[in-house]
Order: sequence, then C-alpha cells, then structure tokens
Amino acid sequence: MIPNRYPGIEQSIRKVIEGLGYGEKFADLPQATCCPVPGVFYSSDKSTWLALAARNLCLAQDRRLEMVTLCNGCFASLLKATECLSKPTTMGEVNKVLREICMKYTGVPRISPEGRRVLEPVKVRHFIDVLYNDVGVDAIRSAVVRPLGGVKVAVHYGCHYLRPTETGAIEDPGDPHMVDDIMAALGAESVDYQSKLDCCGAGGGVRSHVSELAAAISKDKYDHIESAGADCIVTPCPFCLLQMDTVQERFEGRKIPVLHAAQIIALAMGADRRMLGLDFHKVPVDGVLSKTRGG
Amino acid sequence: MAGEGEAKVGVFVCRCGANIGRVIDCENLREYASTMPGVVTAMTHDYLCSEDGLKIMREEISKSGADAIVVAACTPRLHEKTFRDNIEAAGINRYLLHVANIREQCSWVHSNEPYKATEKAKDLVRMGVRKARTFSPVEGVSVQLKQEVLVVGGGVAGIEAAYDLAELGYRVHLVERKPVLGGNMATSFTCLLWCHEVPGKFQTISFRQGTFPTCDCSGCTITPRLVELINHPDINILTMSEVKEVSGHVGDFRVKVVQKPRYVDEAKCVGCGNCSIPCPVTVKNEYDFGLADRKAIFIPYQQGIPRKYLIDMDSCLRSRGEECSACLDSCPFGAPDYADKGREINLDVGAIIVATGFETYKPHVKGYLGYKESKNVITAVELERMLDKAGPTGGIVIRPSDRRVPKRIAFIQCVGSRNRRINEGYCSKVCCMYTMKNAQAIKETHPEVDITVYYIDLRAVGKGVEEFYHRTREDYGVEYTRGRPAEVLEEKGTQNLIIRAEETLLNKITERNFDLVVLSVSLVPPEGMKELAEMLKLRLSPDGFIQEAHTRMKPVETSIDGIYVCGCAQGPKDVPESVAQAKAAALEAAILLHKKVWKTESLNAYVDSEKCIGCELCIETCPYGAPVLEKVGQGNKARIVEALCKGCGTCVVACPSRAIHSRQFTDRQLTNEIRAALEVK
Amino acid sequence: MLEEPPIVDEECDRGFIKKITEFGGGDVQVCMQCGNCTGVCPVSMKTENKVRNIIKMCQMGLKERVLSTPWVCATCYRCFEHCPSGMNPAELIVALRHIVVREVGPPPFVVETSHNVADLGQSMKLSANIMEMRKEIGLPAEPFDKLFRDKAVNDIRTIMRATGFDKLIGIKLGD
Repeated sequence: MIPNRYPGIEQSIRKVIEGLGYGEKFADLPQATCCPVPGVFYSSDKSTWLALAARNLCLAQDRRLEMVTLCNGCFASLLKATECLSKPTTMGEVNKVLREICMKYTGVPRISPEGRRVLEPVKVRHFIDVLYNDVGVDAIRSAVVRPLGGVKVAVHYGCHYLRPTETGAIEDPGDPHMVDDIMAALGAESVDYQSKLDCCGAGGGVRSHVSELAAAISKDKYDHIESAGADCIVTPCPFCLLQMDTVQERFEGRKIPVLHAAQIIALAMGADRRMLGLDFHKVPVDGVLSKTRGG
Repeated sequence: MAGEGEAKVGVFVCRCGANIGRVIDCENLREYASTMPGVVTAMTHDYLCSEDGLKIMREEISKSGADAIVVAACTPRLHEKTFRDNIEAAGINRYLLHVANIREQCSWVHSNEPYKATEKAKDLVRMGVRKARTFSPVEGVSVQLKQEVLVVGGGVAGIEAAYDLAELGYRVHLVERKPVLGGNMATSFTCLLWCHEVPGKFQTISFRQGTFPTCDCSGCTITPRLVELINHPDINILTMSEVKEVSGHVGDFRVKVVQKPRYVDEAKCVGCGNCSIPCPVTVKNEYDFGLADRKAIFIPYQQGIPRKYLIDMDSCLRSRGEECSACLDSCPFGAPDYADKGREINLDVGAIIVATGFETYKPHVKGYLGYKESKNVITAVELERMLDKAGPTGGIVIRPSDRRVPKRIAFIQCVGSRNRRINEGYCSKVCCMYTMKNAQAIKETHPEVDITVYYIDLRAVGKGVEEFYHRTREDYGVEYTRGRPAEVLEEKGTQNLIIRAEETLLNKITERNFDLVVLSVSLVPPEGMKELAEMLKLRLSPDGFIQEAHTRMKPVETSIDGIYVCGCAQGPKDVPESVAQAKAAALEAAILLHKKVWKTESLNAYVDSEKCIGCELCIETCPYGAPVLEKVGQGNKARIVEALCKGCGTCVVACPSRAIHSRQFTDRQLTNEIRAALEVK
Repeated sequence: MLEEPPIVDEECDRGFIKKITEFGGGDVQVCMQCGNCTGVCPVSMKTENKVRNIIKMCQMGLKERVLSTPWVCATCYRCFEHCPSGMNPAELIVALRHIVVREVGPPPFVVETSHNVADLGQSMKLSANIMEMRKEIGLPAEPFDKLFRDKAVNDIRTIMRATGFDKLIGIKLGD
C-alpha cells in the first residue's frame, strides 16, 4: 500500500528516523512483500496467508531484526502470524511450504538470562510503539523545529492498533494515549470526539466489497470529528488514511485533511512538504499547513 | 499372630450380584485364595455388605480364628468403613483389613475378558493376602472436643448459626469484620420475601403497613434476631474483628482474633448520639455510598446493632495532632476512649463455621457501561440504599447528578456475572430476582417512573418467584427486553444516558434514553476470602467461593473436619437458602461436638524421630498442616499431629531420611505387595 | 406482505458447526445469544445483517442462508472484546469466508488482489500517476527492481502453488 499508493509515508518515516538520530538502528528489507493483506488472504486461505507472512518474517529473522510496520493491517497480520508460528506443529507445516523457496522459520536465536540458547519469535512492532517507548516523547519534542501551533488534531487509532487485546495490543484499547501524546509533543492539540475508538469501515474487505457500507461507517466518525472542530485527522494506518481521505467527497460539509502519523511528525520535524507526498492527498492539506509556522 | 508377619488371613470374595459374579469366576478365585500360605478360610457371598453377608463374615471369622481380613469386592471408598465396623464387631482391630478392588478395577473394566479378569482378580487377592499377613494393629486417635464454636461472619447466616448453637448450650464466639452485625442484609440489601398472592388478583403492598409478608424492609426482618443475639448469655460478639491465625485441628482449633480499635468503650456507650452533634468533622458516609454525610464519630446506619458509636480515626482531628475532645466532653458516660489500641483475642474452639457472606462486583473498567464516568449510572447496592426508608434519601430514588427523581430507569442485568472475560463466568443466581423486587419497590414510591430491564436470560426460581415476575411485568408495568447493552453513552449537559443494545427479540439495534441506569451487579467472594481459606486450609471452587465437601450430600461441610460453611460464603444464594444452610451447619457442628470425643478414621503417618533430621520438608509438603516441628533435646524433630493427618502419604515420599512411615503402607508391606504382583502363579 | 415458509429440518446441516471449527471459527455453541456483539458491530448497525443472528443460524446449521452474508465484516474485533462468553465472532466470519471461497467462489476483489500479489508482490497495481508522484518526491519511479521481481515474486508464486492457492482462487501462474 505504501510504495504503490502513499509513497510519501515512506519518505516521511525516513525523515523522522534520520531526524531523531536513529538511522543506524533501522534497516531496509528490500525483499519484503505484501504482508499479506489480511482482508484478502487471512480470509480466504489461512495456510497461504501464513506462508506468505512467514516469508516476510524470515527476512527479518535471518538478519536478527525486529520487524517494524507503518500500518495497522500489517501489524495485525504479522503479529498474528508470529502467534500462530509459536505452535510447533504449525511451524512445521509452514516450513514444509517454505522449503520450496529455501527458507525456514525458526525464530531468532538468543541467549536467555539463564545462559541457555533459546529461539524467540520474531518481534513485530508498530512504529508508534517504537517511537513512544524506544525513542521517547521527549526526544521527539526536542527534534521539533516547526511546532504545530495548536493545530486541532483528531486522532484515529484504527481497529488493529487497538484490538484484539489477546494477541498483544499496543496499549489499553479503552484508553489509548500514545499517539495523542506524540501529537502533544509536536505542539498540536488532540481533540476528543465521541467515536474516537470506532472503526473507519475500510478493513476486512468492506471497502473493496461494499464501498457504500464503508462510507456509511466512516460518516459517523466524520460527523463527530467535524463537530469537534478538528483541523485534521491523523492516523497510524495507511488504509484508514485512504478511506477517510477518499470518502469525504461523498459528504457535504467541511473537508478535513487526513495525514498519516509519520507524515505529520516529519512535518513538525521540518521536512519539506513536497517530499512527504501531501499534495497528492484527495483532501487538500493546505489548511493545516498554514496553521503551522513556516507553512 | 497378626503383627509378626504371621497373621491368619481370612479371604471373603463378594459376587456383588452380577456386577462381579458375571465376569469373575468367584468360586475359582475362592479356591485359589484358600491354597495361599497363611489363609485359614476363604468364602464367597452374593452381597457381603448386606446384613446377611456381614453376619456370615463375623461367624466365619470366629469359627476360623482369622485375625487379618482380605475382602475382595467393590472399591474401598464405598464400604471400607462398613467392613471395618464389621470386623471390629467380630473382635478384630478394625484396621486389620485390606480391600482388594475386583469390581471397579477388574470386573467392570475387563467385562469382555472374563478369563483374564479372573486371573487379574487372583493377582489382586494374592497381593492383598501378602500384605495382610504383615499387618499390625492400629489404634485410632481420639480427640477431646472443646464445646465452643467460632462463627466467622455476622451476617444473616452467621447469626442464625450462632443463635441455634447457643440455644443448644454451646458457647459461641461470633467474629464480625464490620462495626455492626447483619451483613449485607442489614446494611444495603433489603430482603427478598415473596408474595403469596391469590393468583390473578392484584395485591397492594404498602411498606409502612407491612400487611402481607411481602417486600418487608430487611431491618424489620433481621432486627428481632439480632436483639436476641445481643442479649444471649452464651454468645460472645466480637465486632470490628478478624481472624488472623488458625492452628490446631477438629476439637481443638487455636484461633487468634484481632479486634480493631473502636475508640469508644462498648460497655459504656448506649448509642444516644450526643457525641456526634458537636463533632467538627463531616465526611461522606461510605455506608451510604456517599449519598449522605456522617461525622468522624458515628454509627454506620440507624438500625445497626450493636448500637455503639465508633470513631473513624483517619478523619478525626486527633490524628492530625489536634486536641479536640468534643465527643468525650458531650458524652454523659465518658465512652470515647482515644487510647484504644484494639486487642488480640485467643480462642480455643471445637468447631468453626465460616459464614463470611459476599461482596458485590465493582464495575471498574473504564468506559464499560459508563460506571464511574457517568454520575447517573449506579449499582443496585446504591439503589437499595436509596430505597431504605431510614436511609440517606428517605426512600426516594434520586439521580446523583442533580438529586431529582428520574423519569425513566434502566436496569442492566448480568454485570460481573456470566462473563468469562473477568472470572469463571458463573451466574450470580439472585440478581434477576432482586431486580424484580427493586423495580416493584421503585414503582411503589414512584408509580409514574418508567422502568426497563435489559436481560440475557431470566432466572426466576423458587417458591412464588415466577408469580413475582409476572406481577412485576403485569401489575407494575415494568418492561423487559432481551439484549446485553453494548454501550452506555452520556449526554452532555443533561447527564442523561443512552443505552445502545441489540434487542434480540426485535432483531434490531436500539438506542434508548434514560435518566438513571442501575447495574445489577453480581455477588462475588468478599475481600480476604483467599487468605481465610488458606488459613483454614479450605478449598475454593472455581468461582472463588468456598468448596463444600460434596455438592449434593454434604452442602455445609468442608474438606476439613470440624469446619463448616454456610450462606453466601459457599456461593451466591438468597436469604431463605442462607438461613437454611446456617441452621444445617449449626446442626452439623452440634452433632460433632455433642459426642464430646472424636476418633480419626484415617490410617495416618508417624515419624521415627531417631531418623528425623528436622529438615521441615514434610511440613512444607503436607496439604493439611499435620506435621509440626518440636524441640527435642538439642535439635528439632517433626511430629505428625494425628488428628490432622489424612494418610495421603505425601510426607512419606518427601522425607529424605525415610524417617516417616505410613501405617499399613510401610515400605515392607508395599514391597511384599509388589513382589506378590510380579510372581508367576 | 407474504411471510416466508417455516424453516424445516432439511435446511439444517448438522455438520456445519464442525466445519466451522475446522476452519478455525471456534465453537459456535458457546454463544448465549446475548446480542452484545451486534450492539458494538459497525456493520450490524448499518445493515440488516446482525452478527448474533449469523451465529444463531450457524448454531442451527442453516448453511445456505448464512453463506450469502459473511464478507461484510470489517474485522474490527469489537465483538470479541465485548463478548462475555469468550467467543470471537470475527474469527467465525473468517471461517465462513473460507467456506464461501471453497463452495461458492471468491469475490472479485479477492481475485484481483491475489493476482496483484502474484504478479507484483504488492496488493495494489502501480499506476502512471503514482510513478510520477514517486519521482516528484525523490523516490525511484518503480519501488522494486528487477532483482525483487525475480526473487520475491517468484517466491510468492512458488508458495501459492505449494499451498494450492492458485487453484483455489483461480489464478493462472504459468511458470
């Protein structure tokens, strides 16, 4: 989704990582493919889904890397895959398929505190989690050169960031705050609105299969965001971004620009807006940008 | 001679009708047994456990001079005691018996291989005979039973049990954690009484008149009993007290009770209330859920018994160093006692009854059903406090946000129960019924209020309850709708509530407005239940309440001899059931104690103190707390308290010095059995 | 308004429950039909398809009726978060989807996306506009080089052949 639809997100996150001085800690995975998209693969054939996901995980495993995703969907897909692969029988079955491409998922070898060699599942992390917990909100705040000047942001977390909690959600699904805190560090004001934790309607194949339904679901969120007086919507998921951005042409009323969290962080860190692909969003982003110093 | 490896063994094979006889060739088995060395007689019978069978066994024992017995029959769990009693009657020490299980472990499981089953039965009997030859007599332990009982918990169950036992002449110690007795029934829950109306006729109930035995206030119901209790010479009431340590065994439980300081001398206080008038400190009364205020020196609620004041030292000015003595100065009897430090009380009792009751579920997850976030979402307990005519609102139902009477009230059932996300998912049994009662009570005072009850399944069991349910819907016009509410949203400004739920019987999602939402919370084990169970070595059921000894036949006994359980401590139930169980528990305790002496039935373990190195592993592993460490000479040695030992053998295995032996299961006896098992016939 | 005829035993497929479990849908018998899932479901709120109803039909084995609905689920997992019985209706829907794909056929967007992944390694095709955009923001026009196409895409196709996905969805993989 990101390379073929919102490449600006890629540039954004590169800018953010460089700007925070974490360039050394991140590496590209050039062979990584579609995670695979859960609404299509997980729903039609779990064994194919798992094999494709395991392939991606092997790429990270073989280089002893943690997998960081920029998308809620990828996060859910890959995290669930590691959970399935933690069962030895499942791992065995998947490896039979992976053998055809000369790969094997084993997990990452580590030395445990007791000094034993153990194999741990590949760690899958959401970039918000990495920014909040590994980098820290204070470091982000110090790297801001273009504070967002009290811009009112409506944060949309998205379903697969919050749920299901059993598979290891990032934070409390009833009371998430990481993205809000990051927005505050950028100088923006995160507004509360009634359906904040609700679904945007796109996922699970709804957008592709019955787009009117997705639009109807988005409308509830849009109405609440609009009446809360938000200047823009920020989300950590490109698919939610796609949905909330393109659906607004069906609605009357004020058009509210939608940004990916990486884009708005990069913006606050002084990135050139042209590099972030913001001009190619359906809803023009100018209104937000003029509110920040520098524009 | 029994005890020297030379016992004369009598073998009795039971055919158990067709249960054993159809599969095992019992005559063959008997014949085989009679050829074994040491066997002086072998016989078969159709039903050994019958009167006839037992009589014939006794006659045979006396005729043959057998002094150790092997019975080949059903599982010892069924009739070991029967046969032990029988051989004792025949003059043999009751423990010189071995039961070879040739039914559950042979004929029932090998019913399609009769030949092999018979061979296996022969092996089992041979093993038994070999073991029985090395039996030595065992004397059971007798325990003197102290004629005093401890009742833990002063709610309706506890007080009923205490009263009955006291009437029977036992000295009862009633330990209650709160400052007053009566538990949940007296404080917040009005009692559940059923209306036995003439079917089809609408009956008016009036609280003030109390014309029928219907929906009476709980105070009226429980107070007479409480007064009897207070005045009873044989009952020692300890309020503000908790059990801290328990040791010992049936007949001789040593209990340490800690009584928290009341800061008011109970002997002097008459409950006049003069002290609270000049008290300068006002705080919210936690017994009224913040709906009303109280002073630092207070009584929890007006009907409370014992009617003695207490000082909440955390709020009192004296705890901040000020020398306020307003209450002491105004008390005609000089009851306030600032130097009270509480006390430790040591009790020695023969039996314990656990009647610790319940607490209600506190919905605390943020956003879930709006509790704590929305002021007008309350629990049933808070509602009941409002409904109490002598309570903080005088019986009027109000919205906490603006203290106005609501127009539309919603009840949400199954809050905290039937939810596997938070606990075992048990049903709390009484919530459907207390909601019906609450709805009726509200309608009595406020007939114009609309009430809707959101339920998943309705449980209305018991005498008159189905009729009660119909009254609620038909006569009082309460609406019932099926569907578990998905969200409770608050309207800004009005602080009214919107409940979104799928009304499943309509197959539609609805959003409905209410002024007040009441969560019908479940009954959960009270705080400290786990610790108390550990202290008493009681088992807890998966739902967290105390596990009774047998679900059907022993509802008030526990796995520990001498300890009984009753009321909601055993699981959610209503008042009539709690009272019934309390009386049953009192009777069980009385049956135990009236015999004055108790004999253990278990073949227990004993320590060879010469070999014991005092490592305490047996103490760590024993689930019953039977081994104790005693100072012997220079070092410590373990000793098994026979009254507590159940003969499970855990310590025997754990002991690294092999110093502990199990009676009738010594290494030598077991080795003999094993050798016998492996012999080629 | 004419009412449908009553549902009869013949419509009930007793093996349906087991089939659902086989595809990872969990045990539908656990559901006590409280309706909480429907109350939080964004799709149920906007359409006639109530989740609880779908579960009830599964419990009864009304396979034909059920199989016309399962794609409409956003997998937002709110149902799972709220269910007091511990059921996961979203996973149930996923299992139903597996059955639909095998017995009725995959919907068009599944076929299309699967083709994209098999041909490009990505779920979306790369349009000329996007290629322009990429150049404008300082990235190479095509996100993946020949090496990627040769190795990664090949891997994907091998996997799809090995699991039989190509036949399941109807993708021609050639060689």
